[in-house]
Order: sequence, then structure tokens, then C-alpha cells
Amino acid sequence: MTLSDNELIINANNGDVLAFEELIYRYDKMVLRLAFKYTGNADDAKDIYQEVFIRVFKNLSRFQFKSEFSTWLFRVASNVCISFKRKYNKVNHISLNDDDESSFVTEIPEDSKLLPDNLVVNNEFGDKISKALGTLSPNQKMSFLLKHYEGYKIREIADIMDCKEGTIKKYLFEAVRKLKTQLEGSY
Amino acid sequence: MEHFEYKEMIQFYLYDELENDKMILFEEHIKICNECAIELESYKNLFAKVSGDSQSALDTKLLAEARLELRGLLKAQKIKIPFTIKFKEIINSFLYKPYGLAFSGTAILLIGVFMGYLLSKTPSTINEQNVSNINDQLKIQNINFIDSDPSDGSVEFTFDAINPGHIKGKIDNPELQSILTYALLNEQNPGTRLNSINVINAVNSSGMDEEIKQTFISVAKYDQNPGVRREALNALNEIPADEEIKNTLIYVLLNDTSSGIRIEAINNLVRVSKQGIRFTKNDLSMIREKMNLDKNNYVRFQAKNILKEY
Repeated sequence: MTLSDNELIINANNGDVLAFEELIYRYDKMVLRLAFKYTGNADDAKDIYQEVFIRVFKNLSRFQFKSEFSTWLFRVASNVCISFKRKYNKVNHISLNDDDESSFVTEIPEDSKLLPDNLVVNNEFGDKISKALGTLSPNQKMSFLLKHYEGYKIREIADIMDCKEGTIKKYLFEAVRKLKTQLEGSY
Repeated sequence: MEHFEYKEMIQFYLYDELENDKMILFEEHIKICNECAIELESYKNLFAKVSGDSQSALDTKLLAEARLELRGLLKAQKIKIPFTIKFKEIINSFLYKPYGLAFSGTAILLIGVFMGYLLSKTPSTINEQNVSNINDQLKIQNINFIDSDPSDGSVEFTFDAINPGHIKGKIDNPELQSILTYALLNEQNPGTRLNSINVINAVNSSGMDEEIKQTFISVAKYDQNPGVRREALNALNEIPADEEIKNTLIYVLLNDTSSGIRIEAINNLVRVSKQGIRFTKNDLSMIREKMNLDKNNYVRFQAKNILKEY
């Protein structure tokens, strides 16, 4: 029998590690995709992913069941994304001490770690939209991603981003106007 | 309504987020306004393209890497924070409730009484006449001098006297087992913990007591010494498999840093599977992750074998 989010939260708060993991696995793809689209960089997306779920882990006992867990989770994710500062000059570390286990590292071509484009199914329009998204303000970008990539209603986005619906409409309007101009001729 | 207002509605019309009356007006306007109709088509195309991009699959390797890193971080978090923060949270949440004030008053009073008791309590004094009465078996620890000046011919100090225990009995003696279970969880010396497992296991392999099983599970997951964790896993391997043991093995497989113990766990999972314990979708997804990402070839190989059967 599949447990509901709320049942999993109760179990997780009682120390059930597997319940917490199951809860995460229901939504973590969406969080990672949001983070990846927001930053356009695989390493930054992973950093955001970790930060989001560590915050969730630390604060799950304070979740009051007043909203859907997913809304609460995306609120955390949205806050982490918007306040995220990219770590420039990030170095890829490869362990030299793994002995027989070093084969793991060689299985991942280094190039693919450095080029975010390879981490999602590549398409030309995807590249263009990623660049265009980079020109939006954090709030415009987040509103746009929540609307167009996660399919939230404006009211829900307002709830997630703790804004009025009118403000979200403005963000969306501006975001789409800018993207439309930049992507002219590509669609 | 002005033309530009209809133009601004296009995007929200496509979101299906216009109020009914505005939607009707907008649809009427589109029929007669060529410019807005063209603009609507243009938005439709853009949104369709964006929607196509949003459906592009996220690389599974990136997701698996992120999950593995998260597990490591969560493990570190669990070690780092548990008691102090939880205690604070419990106290805070309690104090905000209506009866919190009354409780805090009582608690302060009780703490005061207890502190008073501790401060006024003096350690039992042994006169020099009685020194010879101290049992030779007593272990003397924590000597603190009150008066270390020998010039007046006397000194004064406090100490803790621990009376060592000695027990000899049948290995199925519950008292003896209870001491060994305690040792398994609390004894600092890993050799002692290891011996405790072996003795307990020798008695209980036919029908393990629930408390002992829980102790073994806890040791298999959290003991700091890999040899002790491995022995606990072996002990669990000797009793009939159940859901709890399966979950423990999966936990160890996902979290243990020693590849030898992960191999032990995956081998035991194969056995569990043969005993008819079913893996859930979530279990299989975790095993699949190990098949793709575990650093050890054998673990990946065995994970693949388990998945083949599903």
C-alpha cells in the first residue's frame, strides 16, 4: 500500500529513514530539474538540490500540514534557488584513494561533467531557452519555471513564492515578453 | 476594453487563468482582431516549444549522483545534530503551549531542589580506621584531593569506588545475555563487542529474541567498527528473513562506507530475496542505483542479479 505524503512525514519524524527517502524520491527529480533550469549548470543544480533537502530534513518536524508537502518543498526550493550564489572556479575533485573502486570514476567521461548540455536530452531550442532564461531576474525566472516547467497555477506560485497573485502575473508577463523577443525566429 | 489590454490577456488566456467574463470578451475580440489572433498563434507556438523543452528527460546519472551525495550529507547531519537541537525544539514547542508556563515553573522548582541536593551532598567519608575495610576488588577512580598538604600529618581526598562484577553461568541465562547485549551497545572495546555478538548468536540463532534482534540491527547499522558491523550482519543472516531485516540490509547497502560490508549486505539481500521477501518499487529503485553507481564491481554485479529476477 502506498503511503500518503503526510503519512510518510509522520513516519520520517518518528525516525524512519526509509520513509524520509521515499518522500524525497517522490519529488526530487522535479527539484533537480528546477534547479538545473534555474542555474543552467549541473554542479550548481546539485548544490541546490542538497541544500533544499538538508533544509527539508532539518525542518520537517516543523511542517504543520497546513499546505501540501509539495508546495512547502517548492517554497524551500524557490528560496534556495533565488538566494543561491554560484560558486565560481569550482574544481572537480576525483578521489585518488579508491583503489579497486576507481573504475567508478572512469565510467563518467569528464567532459560530460563539465558540459551541462549533455546532462539533459540535448536540443537546440533547449540551449537557446537556457541562455534566454539567464537574462531574466531571479523572480521572473522562478515564476516562469514554476508555471511552464512544473505546471503550477498562478495562485500556487504566489503561495510558493510568498507574493501576491498580481505580482506573479507581472513577473510572468515580463518573463514571457523578454523570452519572446530573444527567441524570435526560433519557434 | 482597449486593444492593448486584450493583448496582455493572451498569455493568461493560454494559461487558462482568465476569469469567465474576461475570457468571453477575449474570445469575441480574437474573432475580429487579426493582430491579436496572430499574436495568439505566436504565443501558442512559443509555449508549445517551451513545453517540449520542459519534458526533456533529466539525466539519470545526475539524479543518481545527487541522491548519493545527499545520503552522505544526511548521514553527517544525523550524526551532527540530534540531541541538543531536538531537545531545544521539544522544550520550545512545549513552552509555547498554554500549560507550558505552569510546567516551566514546576520544572525550575524541581531543578532547584535537585541542584540543592547535589550541592549539599557530601561523598561518603571513610575514616583511616576503615581504610583496611575497602574491598581489594574495588576499582578506585577519579581521586580528587581536598587537602593534599601532608605537613600536618593528614590528607583528605574523594574517589569513586567501582565494584567489579563477575558472572559465570549457562550461556542461555537471560541475565548474562542482558549484560552482553548492554556491552554490545555500550562497551568501548570492539573486541568485547565482537565477542558479545558471538556468544549471543550462539544461543539465539534458532529463535532470536526481539530485543536482541533489534540490538543486532542497530549494531549492523551504526557501530563504528566495521568488523563488529559485519558480525552483526552475519548474525542477522542466520535468522529467517523478514521485512525489517531486508530494510536493514538495504540501509547498510546504501550507507556503509566499507565495500566489504556492502558486499555482505548485497549477498544477504540475495538470500532474503530467495526466501520470498518481496522488494518494493522503492527498494528496487535503490538497488538499481547501486547497480549503476556503487564503487564496487561485485556489489554492482549482485545488484544486477537481484534486478534480473524482477
